[in-house]
Amino acid sequence: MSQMDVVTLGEHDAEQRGYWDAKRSDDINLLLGVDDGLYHHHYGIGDYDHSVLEAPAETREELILRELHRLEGAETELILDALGEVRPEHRVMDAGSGRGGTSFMIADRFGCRVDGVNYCAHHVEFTQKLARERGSADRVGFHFANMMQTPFEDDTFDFIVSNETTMCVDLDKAFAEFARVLRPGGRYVAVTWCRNDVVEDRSVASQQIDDHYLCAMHTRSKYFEALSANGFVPFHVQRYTDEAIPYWELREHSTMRTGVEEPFLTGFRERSIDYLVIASERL
Amino acid sequence: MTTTRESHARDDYERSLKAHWDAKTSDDINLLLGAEDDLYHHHYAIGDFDRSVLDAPADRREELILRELHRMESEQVRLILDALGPTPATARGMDAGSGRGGTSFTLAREFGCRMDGVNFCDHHVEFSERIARRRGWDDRVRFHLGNMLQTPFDDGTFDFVVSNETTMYADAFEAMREFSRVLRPGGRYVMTTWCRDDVVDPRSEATRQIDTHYVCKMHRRSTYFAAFKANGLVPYYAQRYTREAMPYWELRNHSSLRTGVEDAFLQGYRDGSLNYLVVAAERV
Repeated sequence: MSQMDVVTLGEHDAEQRGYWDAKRSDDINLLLGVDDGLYHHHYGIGDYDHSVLEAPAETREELILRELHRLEGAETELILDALGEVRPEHRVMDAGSGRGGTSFMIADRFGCRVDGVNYCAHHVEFTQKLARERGSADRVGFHFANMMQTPFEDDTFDFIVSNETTMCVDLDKAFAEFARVLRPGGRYVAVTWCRNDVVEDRSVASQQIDDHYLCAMHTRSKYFEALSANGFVPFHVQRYTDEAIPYWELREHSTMRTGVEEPFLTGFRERSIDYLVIASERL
Repeated sequence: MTTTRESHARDDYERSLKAHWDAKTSDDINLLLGAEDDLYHHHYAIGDFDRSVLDAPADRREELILRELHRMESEQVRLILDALGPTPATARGMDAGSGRGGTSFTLAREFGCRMDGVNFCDHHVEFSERIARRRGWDDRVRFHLGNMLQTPFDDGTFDFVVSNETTMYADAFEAMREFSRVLRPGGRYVMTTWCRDDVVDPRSEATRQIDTHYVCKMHRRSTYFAAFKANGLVPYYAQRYTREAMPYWELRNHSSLRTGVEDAFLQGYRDGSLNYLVVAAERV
């Protein structure tokens, strides 16, 4: 797909893409991955080791960053566990693959082929280089493309995952594309933060997050509506709103904090934002 | 609360279903199991059973099997308790299709909350009301002769609604509409159900046999989510059990009280055409 095609899918897309294209020296994502080659663009789950806050000044920041990185890895495990049995001959698509952390973790655990799709050119270059360095370029490929319009044939994949990426796209278009490239009976696992419309349709916190990331967070009900409309039937849903809070508390202690910590903490605490895992099968 | 029998079965299907339950007054598999703790269940279970019961001496074996089945059924209600989450004693819950009251009494005991069971089988309602009086709980655990699709309650009456393996007897859309109506905004609905897994097979032989046996109309998994969506119920939890739903039926096959439907359930879970599903949703 040409650079032009990728951008012209919509005005919001173009804005989004501009945001990511400009974001090349985001240390919070880059520093954390240096040790294990797993660079994440999502948050973490579970409690952190509170002793890091008592560490001496010269090691404290490093320990906080390592702990944040560990929680991000734990978050990706939620996806891996929800996938179920993935065999080496299976193919997985990672929709919105960022710098590849989720794709590599899936390939490492299951030995399967993974195709990451991302529309940020420097992310794709970064991950392609990383795959070569890791010696996994034959199994883990990254494609410069929009996840709503991928270059794959119908029914190509056995599994699709999206790790905190669907708040950046039109859900109906994305799920229509996922349904197209997923074989019947294939599974789609999403992790996402969303507006909890049972509590409040549009809270200040959710607005602040959308403004910060130029995203358009969906309501929880919108996910189930779009899944249903595109032939996806859930078999596992789990809310991790409480478990999503410690990551942000810890990030507030880091010099890498970006300012979006407070709206996440407020949103999760007041329950106007949910953190959700949804696993579905395609009819 | 008593009303005339005719008002609760509204069409031919409901009349045949009601006749099925009305006639079923000596169903030992449900009655014997509850005799000791006054918890009479009309549902199945998930998880493994204590395999040692199968090796018990002949004169004890049947009793131990029944005790184990009952233990598993009582434990099954934990699925609903856990999915509801912390619930204050001030809450009020509705049990849609309350049978002989096992689920209502367990929720009332665990949460200390008020429960209203709704059932359209006269003798079940009388039976469970009698237990409530005997326990001295009749002030807060009440049973109503009524159709769960058309309950006598005002809009927004309940903090939560549960249905424990009962929605296969009703139109899913009608049921969710009624549950959503009587729930307050933000209130929770938790169901356990067996359903057809339409991802695997929209209509297998096993599911047909089960429907015939119980005069029920098992829904597809996708129908539940469509019915939630249409009625403002937004899931926050869902879990599917298939393999885990099998041991209960394996054990029942060893009991002299087996009813003949065991093999169909085992086959359905084995071939994946049948799911055991827990879903919890909140009302927008």
